[in-house]
Amino acid sequence: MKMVIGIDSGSTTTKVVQMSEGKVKHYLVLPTGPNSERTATRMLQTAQQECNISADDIATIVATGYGRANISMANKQVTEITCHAKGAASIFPGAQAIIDIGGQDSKIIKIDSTGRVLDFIMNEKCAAGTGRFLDVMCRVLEVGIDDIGPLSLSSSEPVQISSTCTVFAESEVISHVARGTPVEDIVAGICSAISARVYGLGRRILTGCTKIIFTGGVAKNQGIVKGLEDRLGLQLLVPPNPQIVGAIGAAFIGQETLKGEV
Amino acid sequence: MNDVISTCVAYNAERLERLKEYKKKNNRKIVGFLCSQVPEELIYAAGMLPVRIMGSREPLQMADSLLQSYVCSFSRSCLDLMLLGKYQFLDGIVVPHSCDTIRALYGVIERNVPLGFTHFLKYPISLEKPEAAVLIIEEYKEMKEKLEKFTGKKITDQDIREAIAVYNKNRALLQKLAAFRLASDRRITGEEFLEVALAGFVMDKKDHNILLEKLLKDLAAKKPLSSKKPRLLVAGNVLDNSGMLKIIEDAGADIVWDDLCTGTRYFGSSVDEKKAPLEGLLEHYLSRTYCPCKGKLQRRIDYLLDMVKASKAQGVIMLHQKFCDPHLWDVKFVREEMEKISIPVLEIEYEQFAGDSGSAGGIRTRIQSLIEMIGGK
Repeated sequence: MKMVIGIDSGSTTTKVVQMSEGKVKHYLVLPTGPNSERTATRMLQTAQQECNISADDIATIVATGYGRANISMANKQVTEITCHAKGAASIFPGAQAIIDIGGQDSKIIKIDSTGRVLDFIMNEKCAAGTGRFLDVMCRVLEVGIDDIGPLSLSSSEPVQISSTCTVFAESEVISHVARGTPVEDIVAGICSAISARVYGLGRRILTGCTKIIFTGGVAKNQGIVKGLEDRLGLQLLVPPNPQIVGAIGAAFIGQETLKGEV
Repeated sequence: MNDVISTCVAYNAERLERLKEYKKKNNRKIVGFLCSQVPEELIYAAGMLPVRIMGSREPLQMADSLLQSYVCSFSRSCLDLMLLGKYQFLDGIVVPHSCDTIRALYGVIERNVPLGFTHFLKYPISLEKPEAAVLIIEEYKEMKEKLEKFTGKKITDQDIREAIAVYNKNRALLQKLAAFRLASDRRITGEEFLEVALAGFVMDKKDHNILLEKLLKDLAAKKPLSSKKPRLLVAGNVLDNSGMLKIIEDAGADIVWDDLCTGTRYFGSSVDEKKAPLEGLLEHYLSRTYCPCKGKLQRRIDYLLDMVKASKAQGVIMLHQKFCDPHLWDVKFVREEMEKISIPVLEIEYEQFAGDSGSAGGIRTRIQSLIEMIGGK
C-alpha cells in the first residue's frame, strides 16, 4: 500500500499524517522543539514503524507549516494557508471559511467548494490571538492547557482583558490574580480576549459565510469555540482532530500531485 | 548579473561613503531631500547635488529618544543615521509637507542636526484646487531665492532648463527600463530594477543616465528572461532597499510593475520643456502626484487599475511601513476595486530592520500563499 505523507511543521507542534487513497491511516502530533527537521524525521520513522511500512512504500512527502522549508526530505513545500484550505474542504465538503489558531499565528481563510483559497488574512507578528498567548497565561495561572476551556465555561463573571499585547495582558492577568479574582473568571476573560481578537481580524473575510471550520490546537478549547460562536452568531464546525487539518491538506496535495504526474 | 546592475548594487550598499568621496573629489555642495515631491531640478540648477535621504536596515541607536512609538521605521532610520553623523556630508536639506511624520521630522532634524541650509516646502493639503497652483509657484520661488542666498549665485531660467533636460532624460530612461519588467519582454527583475532606480537617487543624474543607457543597450542585446511565474504589481510607500522585493520574487513571483515612491511614482511623467521652467515643474509635480499623502484617492485607484491591466498583473501586494497611515487608509478602497476585477490584494506591513526576521517568516508564508492562490501550487 503506497502512502502519501503530509508533515505540518508548526511553530509549537509537528503533525505527521499518513494517507492512502484519500483516507488518513495514521497520525502523530508532537512538540516541534528546537530542531524542526530532526523532530519531523524521527516522527516519520515512528510512523513508519507503527504502520509497518518501509521507505519504499512512501509515494511522496509534502511539508507545510512554519518550518516547511527545513524539511529537506519533503518532495514539495506548500504553505499552511493552501494546506488548511484543502484539508478543511476534504473533511467538511461545502466549507466556506476556516479559522485556524495555531501556536504562533492565527489565520482566516475563505475557500471555494474545491478547497481553493479565495482570500486569507493572517495576524501580524503580535501573539495576542494565538495559542502561545494561552500557554503564557496557563503558566501565570498554574492551570493546565486542557483545563482552560471547561474552567472558562464555569465562569459567571468573566473579567475584561483590554490589552491586545501578550506581555501587557500578562500583567493585567497578574493584577487580577493579586486582587483575588476567581481563576475561572480570569480564564474566561482570556478566552474572550482571544476570540475578540481573532474575530476582529477575520470579520472582513467571514462576513456572509455560514459554514465555518475551526482548526488548530486552540480549537480544542471550548471556551474559545464558544467565544467565537457568540460573536459570529453561528455554530462552528470543529473536526475531531483539529490540529492535523494542515497535515491532511498537505497529504491531499501530495496525492493530487501524483495523479497529475500519471 | 549585468555589470551596471552590480555596480548599482555595490553603490547602494555604501552610498553614504560614496557620496562623501564624491563631495571631496568634486568640491560640490550636497543637499538632501525627503519624498519625491521636491523639485530637485531647482537644487541641481543651483549647482548642488540633490540626494534622497534614505535609511538603512541597521538597528536604531539614537532616534527613538526623539520620536513617538507610532513613527515608521523608515523615518526612524533616516533620523538615526543623521543623529549618528552618517549624513554629515550634507550641506542642507529640503523637506516637503507630505505625510505628518515627515513634516514633524523636519522640525526634529532642524533642532538636532547641524546643517547650513534647511528648507520646508509648504505644499497645500489639497492639490486639486486651482488655488494650489498659485501657492506652489510662490513656494518654488521662495525655495529658489533661499537656494540663491545660500550659494551666493543666481539661478537663471537657463540653469533650470538645463536641469530639467537632465532629469527628463533620466525619467525617460527609467520608464524604458521599467517596461523591461513586463512578462511580454522581461529583461530585468523587480528587485534589480529597484536597485538601479535607488542608485539614481544618490548620484548625479548625468552619471545615472550613462549607466541607464548602457544597461538598456546591454539588456536589449540579451535574450529575454523566461516569465512563467505569477505576475504581481507591488504598490506602497518608499522602499530604500530591495529586501522585500527579493523576498517576493524568491517566493516564486515576477514583479512586473510597481506603484512605489522610489519607483514609477517618481519617474512616471516628465516636465514640459516648452513651458516657463517653474510652470513646467509645477505641472509635472501636480500631474505625477498619486501619492496617498497628496493625491485624490480615485486618481490613484484609476492608475492602479490601469496598470494592473496594462502589466497583466494577476495580483497586487501592498507593501506598507508599519504606522504609515496615508497608505494604510487606502487599503480598503484599493482592495474593493481590485475585487471587482478579481485581482487578489495582499497587504503586508513591515519594519525595515534586517533583524526583524521574526516577522519575515510570516511575510514569506503570506506571499507564498498568494502565489499558490494565483498560480496553482
